[in-house]
This record gives sequence, structure tokens and C-alpha cells, in this order.
Amino acid sequence: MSGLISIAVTGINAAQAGLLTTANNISNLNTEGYNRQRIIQVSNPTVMTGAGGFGQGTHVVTVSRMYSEALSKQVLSAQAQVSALDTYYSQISQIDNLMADADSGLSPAIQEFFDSIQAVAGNPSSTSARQSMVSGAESMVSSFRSIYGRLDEIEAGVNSQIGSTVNSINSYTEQIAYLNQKIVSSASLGGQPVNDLLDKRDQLIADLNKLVKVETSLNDDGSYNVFVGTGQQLVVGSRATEMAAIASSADPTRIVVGLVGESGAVQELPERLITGGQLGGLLSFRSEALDTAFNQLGLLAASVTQTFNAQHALGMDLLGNIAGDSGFAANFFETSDPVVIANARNATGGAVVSAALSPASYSGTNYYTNLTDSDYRLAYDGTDFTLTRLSDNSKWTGATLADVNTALASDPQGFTLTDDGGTFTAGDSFIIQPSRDMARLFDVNSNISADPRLIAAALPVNVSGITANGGTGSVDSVQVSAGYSVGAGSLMLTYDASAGNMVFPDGSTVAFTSGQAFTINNSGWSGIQVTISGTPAWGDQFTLSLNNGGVEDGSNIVRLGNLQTQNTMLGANATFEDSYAAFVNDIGNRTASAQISSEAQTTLLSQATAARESVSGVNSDEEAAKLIEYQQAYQASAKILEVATTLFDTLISIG
Amino acid sequence: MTMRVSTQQMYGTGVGGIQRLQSSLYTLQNQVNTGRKIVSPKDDPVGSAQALLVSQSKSVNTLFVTNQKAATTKLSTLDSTLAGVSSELQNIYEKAIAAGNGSYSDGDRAAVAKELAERLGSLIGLANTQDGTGRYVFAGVQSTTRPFSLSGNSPSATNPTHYSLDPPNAYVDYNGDDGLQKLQVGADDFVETNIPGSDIFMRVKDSSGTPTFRSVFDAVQNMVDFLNTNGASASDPAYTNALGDISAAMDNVTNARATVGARLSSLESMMNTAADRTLQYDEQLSNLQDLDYASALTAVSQQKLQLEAAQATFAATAKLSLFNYI
Repeated sequence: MSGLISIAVTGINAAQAGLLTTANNISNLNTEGYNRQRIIQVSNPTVMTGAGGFGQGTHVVTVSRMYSEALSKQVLSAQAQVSALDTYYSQISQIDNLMADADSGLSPAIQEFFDSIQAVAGNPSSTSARQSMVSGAESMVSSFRSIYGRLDEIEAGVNSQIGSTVNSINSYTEQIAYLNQKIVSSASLGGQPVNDLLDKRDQLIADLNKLVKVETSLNDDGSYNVFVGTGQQLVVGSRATEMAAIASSADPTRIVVGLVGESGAVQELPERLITGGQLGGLLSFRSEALDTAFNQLGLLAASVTQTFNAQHALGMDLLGNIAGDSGFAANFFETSDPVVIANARNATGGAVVSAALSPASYSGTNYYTNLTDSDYRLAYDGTDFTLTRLSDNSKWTGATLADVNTALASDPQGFTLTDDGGTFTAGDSFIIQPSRDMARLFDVNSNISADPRLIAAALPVNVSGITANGGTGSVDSVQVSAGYSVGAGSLMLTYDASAGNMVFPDGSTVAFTSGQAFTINNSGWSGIQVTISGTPAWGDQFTLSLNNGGVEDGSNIVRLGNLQTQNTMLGANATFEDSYAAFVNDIGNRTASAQISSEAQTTLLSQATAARESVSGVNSDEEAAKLIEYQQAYQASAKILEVATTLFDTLISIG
Repeated sequence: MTMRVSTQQMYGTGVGGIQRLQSSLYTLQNQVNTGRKIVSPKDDPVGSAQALLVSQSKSVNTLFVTNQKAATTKLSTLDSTLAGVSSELQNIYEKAIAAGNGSYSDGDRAAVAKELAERLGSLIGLANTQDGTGRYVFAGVQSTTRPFSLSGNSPSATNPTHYSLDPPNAYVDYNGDDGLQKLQVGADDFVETNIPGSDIFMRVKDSSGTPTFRSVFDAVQNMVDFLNTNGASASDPAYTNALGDISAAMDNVTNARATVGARLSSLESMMNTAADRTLQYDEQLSNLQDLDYASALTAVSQQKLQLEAAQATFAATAKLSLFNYI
């Protein structure tokens, strides 16, 4: 009889345990990170008698967490990707939207500037046309600057998000370390797993993994080790390593991530090691998209500046000033030297390196720049300097910076390097950013803004036939090249028909062919190409003189306007608009591919989550069924008690 | 084998599906609102880049059209000024022919000379024509320099033609230059919007292209001087030379007008081509950027249907629970 009662009690206890677990499952239906629990119920050992073995009821061995490490890791891995891509996408969408506006983007501002140039070409002596060209230039410059400003804001946002993400990571790793400790001590105390602590720790790892992709390994004592990158420890047992957002030693303007060592010194983590999660997304957005956007924008600004200035310097302003005159504004646009950042770990008091934009090169038809949208690194190994283009690791070497410049001369990159004569120490390195800040440094020459008559619309030199010329020779075009010079007064050319020469006053000659340019180099006049078409008569004379009165001459402004459709960039291989279109295309592509990858990864994540949930998730219908099941088991066991009581009463009544 | 589905997941999937559909409906709505299929570059990176290049080509084309119009205006004004010069010369020529009549007395010739001298004055005035903004149109590029001024030279006693450029003894000096004002009217096309005064008035060539070495003004002044000579005879070479010079001057101006006319007609055909180009660019841009409303609206109704179905399904399944029955 007592056997019956005790067996019934084990059944009641087990059913009660089942009910408790089911109730817990139901109440945690919406708890993030909760893994459903099941009681593991086994039968009690049989008692052998002469009549055979009698079961002794049941007992609950443990409350088990329905958890699959493999499935959870799949979710983690997909989640890290999704977080990274979503972060990347939401960041790059800002640039994408910046490029979207067809009416306020860079393209219309550039177009309006060139329109205003043509207005001056139509009326070179009109100061109001010149004033509108200055306004056109200023509004183009302010468009560049405003896009730069937006990019700058985005960068500041990225930097502050890196900081706050690192703070959250530290808070998670600390909690994980703390839970590790609790889990180890609880396990050693009761020998039973503490399911809610395990759930909490797994949830923390899932949350951490949304911030940065982590790997975990399980120790024998039940604690987790958490790694980032290629095995850099974040948590080992009950110890967490702090992460820090610090200024990079290679580029102190850049916030990077490092791990705080025992001594408190921060070891920088290379960016490529931090993949996945918000942090990975932020870092890859910054290095792939944001840096490129800065550089592309700056590249365009620097190329406009350099090509314009080179052509502008060859002109004459409305006041008659030309190159070399104190009142002459050679540069239409102002800019500054590219940024050179010394590595913070360079030997103190060492040499200072600076970079200068090279003047635009001349292709035979127009000026162009050789600048690229890449950054460069200059490193000194004690013997040689190596300049590396970071976009593709092309290298230029030399024992001195002058030698590096010589190497650059044959494969120009649009800038040259100099040092201040200080000492270089092996291991010194510098980052050179030829284009990055150029949109910010871009400006219209303030003298020209103040006095648009300084726009050098005309050519410095006029060539005219004398009125007594009998032939049909007429001056077709005059052109000057960089470094040209003008002599005193005027220079007379006399045509010698028998020799086919133009004769200078000093008797020296230059060969003449109708319709073909010949170069003047005589009596202080040089670098001037003249084309005369038609047939001059013997003795016809042409006079070279300074073009002071040529206020209606728009030859130079026409050439400036022409730059719009000429190959002015990337070593004379692209127009301004080509380069801008490539920039927009690049941003569009990156945004679209982030969106597509994010969608694909989200699908993977939901599949992985479904697989994990199929093991660990709580289903309310299932729990309802379990509720009934355990309720009935309870009632059945209780019935046994009732039967046992009835039996007992029966026996009593007999007695 | 059936897969276990957690309750949370059922809600999550339902909501996620609805959100996805709402997001793509939002994109469509944006496209319909703006009328553009490319709302931002990510919608079609290649198309966005192409659209930029095409719209630059279109703007540059518009720029050329603007310049073509400006050049046409300048050249038309130039042409009408030259027409005035032509008719003045024509008049001078006719008066000079008449004055060759043997029946004219010295007094008659002096009267003609007086009239011609006045007409010469207006000819010099025409050569010093200024545009609406006060710029001299026949000064080459030295538009603020008065191009033609009396030299103050006396008629040469030794030279039978009195005033000439060679040997140098001009009646009127040219102070401008040979500078050309050019406007870009095509990718590689430039049009000159002026003719330097030196070519029209100074370096006169007759109909066969032979230089006379007498400017338009020299020719007329020589005629005036001849007519003022007492007892002048039409058989005097001074008369025939001067008359020939005036005729050559007329030819020279006619040539200049022909040049202007040729430029104007080539500008006209350029403007027609440019108008065609504008249409082509517009069409290209439209193909790249503009939304196909028919297919966009079809997509909207499809997505709307899907969204409604997703919402209905969610509402229906969310209600199902075993707890309702116990």
C-alpha cells in the first residue's frame, strides 16, 4: 500500500515538474534568447522480488535546455554578416542620396560654371559677364564644399559610432566574463546546469556578435572564451579584455580599434581583422566607400584647379597684366598642398615630409592631371624610401626623396615630395593624401573674386599683319605655352617667299608653311606659336606685340571653356564629367550590392534562425498540449492515491 | 518531416513579410511620385552614370546653341553695317562717275568733291561703328580703341596717287589689330564673329584679288582731291586710278559681306542640327531616367495584392491557438 502511495507521489512530482517547466516555457514565450526547456524524466530502479521486478515510479533527472550549439553558431555567423551589411548599407545610402539630387548635385554646378565661361567668351570685355563667371565659379566651389561637408559629417558620425560600439562591446564582454564566473561556480555547487544563466550568456554573445563578429569556444568548466578577428581574445573565462577606440598611429585623424593590454597600452587591431557586425560594417564602409568618396570628390576639385590654373596663367587680363606682372592673378582657383600625415611612431624630431601638387601636364591639345583617387604611403627602411600607392600597391623607390620624385617623373601621380632636411630613421612612415581634402581647400582666387577684370580671357600676344600687306596671309591663331616670354616693344616678321621663311629683324629666320604653326624664339619673345593661313606676298609683314588693348580677345577663355569636354584627368584619359559619372556609378554600385547582399544574408539568417527555433523556440500550441498532458498525468497519479486510500479504507473496514 | 515552428517566429515572419512588401511599395511610390525610375544612383548605377554624361552632352549642346545664337546676332549686325558701307560706296562711285563727265565745270566738280568729302566722313563714321555697349566692332579685338583716325598726312606731291599705304602715306590710320573674336559653336567648330577693320577698309583687293595698296578712305580722298583740282580731266590717270580704287573697295566690302553670309548660313544649319541633337539627348535621357508608368502601376497593384494577402494571412494565423479550446 505504501508502495502504491510512494509511486503515485513520484508521478505527481514528475507531473508537477513538467507543469512548472511548461509554465516557464509559456511565460518566456516572448523572452529574447530563451531556449525552451524540457524535463528529462526516467523511471525509478526496479525492486526485484520473487514475483519479478516491480517499478518504483519515476523521477526527473534534470531540466534540459533544448539548445544546439551548431545551429546557434550558424545564426551567429549569418547575424554578423547581416549587421555588417545593414550598417554598411545605411551609411552608404546617405552618400547615395547625396548623389541622387539631379538639380542640386555637382553636375549642374559644374555645368553652370562652364555656361558662365561661355558668356565671357561671347563678351570678353564685359565686366558683368566676368562677374557672373566669378559667381558661377563660387557656386561650383560651394557645391564641392557642401558635399565635402556632408561627407565630413558622415565621417564624424562613423567615428562616434565606432566609439559607442566599442563601449557596448566592452559592456557585453564584461557581462559575459561575469556570467562565465557565475556559471562555473553554480555548476560546481549543484552539479546541475543553470539554464537561465546559459540563455543569458548566449543572448549576450548574440548581442555582442551583432556589434562585431566573434568566435566562441567552450571550456571544460562550462565557461566560454570569446575571440575577435583571427583569435584575439576578448573574454577568457572570467576575464574580459577591454577594447578601445583610439587615434591611429599611422593617421592620428582616424579613429581605429585596439585592445587594451595588461600594461594598459593599446594594441591597434588591423581593420581587416574586424569583419562582421556593426563595427565591421562601419570600418568597411569607411575604408571602401567613404575614403573613396572623399578622394573622388577631391580628385575632381584638384583636377579642375590644376588644369584651369595652368591654362589661366597663359592669358592676359582685362587690365593688360600677363604672367610675371605683379598685378597678374595666374591662378583662377586657390588650393593648398596635399595632406601628409607622419606616423605617430616615427622617431621624434625627425624629418618633416611635405607634398605638392604637380602643375598640370600638356597633352598637345589641353592640360590634364595625373592625380589618382588613391592614398599613398611613404616608408623608409634605413636605406631606401618606398612610396606605395595603397589602391594597388604600385611602388616607387629611391635613396632620397629626390630619387623618388625622379621615379615619379616617369610614372607621374600628380604630386611630388620634399623633406625639410631633417633626419629619417628606419621604420619612419608617412601617409600622403593627394586628393582627400582638395574639395575643402578648393576656392576661387580671392583677387579675382574681388575684381573679375583679372580673369585672363585674352592671349598675352597679338599678331597682326600691317595694312600694306599685299598677300592673302592672315593670322589664324596664336598660342602661348607655359614659360613663354615677351620681348620689349614689338617684333616684326617679314615674309621671304623664295626661302619660305619668316625673317626676324636680326636676320634670323623661322620656316613658314601656310596653315601650320611656327614657334617664335627671338629677341626675348619665346614660347609663342603662330599660325598664318593664306599666302603672304613677298615682303608682307606681321607684327608681334603685347595684346594690351585686346579687350575683346577671348582666345584664352575659349580654351578654358574647352576644358569641359577635353580629357583633363587621370593622365588625359577622362573628362571631368567622366570622372564624376564614374564616382556616382561607384557609389551606386556599392549601395546596390550592399542592398542585394543584405537581402541575401537576411534570407540566410532567417533560414538559420528557423532551424535554431525548430529546436529551441517555444511553440504555444505545443505547450498547451504539454499542459494538458502533464495535467492529466498529475490527475492520473492523484487517482492512484485515491485508489490507494480506498484500498486502505477497505482493509480497515474489514478489520 | 515537419519542422517545429516557434510562436515568436510565426509573428516575426509574418511581420517581416509585411515590412518587406511595404518597403518595396514605398520604393514604387517614390518612383511614381518623382516620375523617375532612378531615384538614387543605387537604383541603376550604370544608368545614373550614363544619364550624367548624356545630360552634360545635352547642356554642352545647349551651350553651343546659345553661342550660335549670339554669333548669329553679332554677324547679322555686322552684315547690316557692311550693307551701309556698301551703299555709301555705291553712292560715292556713282557720283564720281558722273563727275567724270567732260561738261562738268570746276565748280560742279568742287560741289561733287564737297559731297564726297562728307560721305567719306560718314564712311569713317561707319568704320568706327560701336555696338550697343560702346565697343568698336571693326577694331579687331581692341574694341575700346577707336580704330580709324585721320592721319593728318598731306597728300604726297611726288606720288601720283596722293594717299596710299605703300609707299606709306595713308589718309586714315588703322589703330586696331587683326584680332579675331571667336565663339565655340560645336565640339571642334569655332565661328569668327568679327572681321577686323584692317581687312575690310585697309587691305583692299580688287575683284581679281590684286591688292591696291589704297585703303577705302585713301581711294575716296584721292577722288576728292582730284575733283578739287582745277581743270581736272577724266582722262587723268589720277581719276581712273581713284575710280578703280573705289570700285575695288566696293568689291572688298562685297567679299566681306559674302564671308559674313557664309558664316550665317553655316550657323543656321548648325542650329538645325543642334535642335535635332537636343531631341535625341532628351529621348536618351528619358529612356534612362523616366519611369514607365504602365509597368510601375501594374507593379503597384501586384504588390498591393500581395501585401493584402500577407496581412490577411497574418491576421488569420495569429488568431489560431490551442488555448482557445482548453
